[in-house]
Amino acid sequence: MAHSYSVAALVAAHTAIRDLLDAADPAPGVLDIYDNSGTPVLLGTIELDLPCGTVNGTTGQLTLVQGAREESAPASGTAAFGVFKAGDGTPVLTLDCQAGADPVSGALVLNTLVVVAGGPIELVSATIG
Amino acid sequence: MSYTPPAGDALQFQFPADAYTPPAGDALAFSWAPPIVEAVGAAPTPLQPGSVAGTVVRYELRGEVRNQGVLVDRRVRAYRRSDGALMAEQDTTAGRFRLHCGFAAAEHYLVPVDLSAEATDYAPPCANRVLSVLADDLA
Repeated sequence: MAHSYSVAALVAAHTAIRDLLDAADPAPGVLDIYDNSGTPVLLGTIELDLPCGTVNGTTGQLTLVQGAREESAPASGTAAFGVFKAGDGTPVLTLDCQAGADPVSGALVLNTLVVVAGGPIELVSATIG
Repeated sequence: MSYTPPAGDALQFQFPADAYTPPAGDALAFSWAPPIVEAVGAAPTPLQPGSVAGTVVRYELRGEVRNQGVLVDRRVRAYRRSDGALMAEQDTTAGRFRLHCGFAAAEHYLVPVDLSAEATDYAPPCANRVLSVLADDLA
């Protein structure tokens, strides 16, 4: 066995992440998606629920839940990375974007990386652990 | 740690189990210390990278233009069937096109126009009731 953490350790670690995202309560955490052509351009902001998710007491996995989707992308561009932030803008987790249909560990998977201003963006699923 | 003294006249040493006090003066002194086992550990963080999936709600029309089975380049225009609004146009590349058609699925009719000076498509073909689909970069 290479290594393993107890469920209690995983629960504690992921609860800490959840609490960081909720730290600016009542402002909910967000997932911001950026273009990266030179200066990052904000392409969309997806609000998380408050609390932002739940930690499974059996597996320790953190599941984040969307509160409100981006209804109208503020700019057009190619999605390059996403940042989970607390409601006050403090970054917690950054993930690179990639095109695809299924979730990939360590990535923010989108059906298309081409975002057109005015279009909605939704969070389908988000897990840590 | 146990010690078995040799037989005969051989020199014998014996260390007390708990401590050894060297003699004073010029006497021969021995010292012994148990070996130190050092433990160095490193383990990855329990925080695994997240798995996140999202949907960019954007619809498009994808396809190709063929003339008698051969891919040809045309200017493709897409009109929304419900009101005739021109939604997008694009020149094909190697006969293929991918048109952004708004943020909701809708039926369209497509007209591929030959823009060359020698064009004879006075009544270009039309594909009607073509439903736009969610954008997919891997399709």
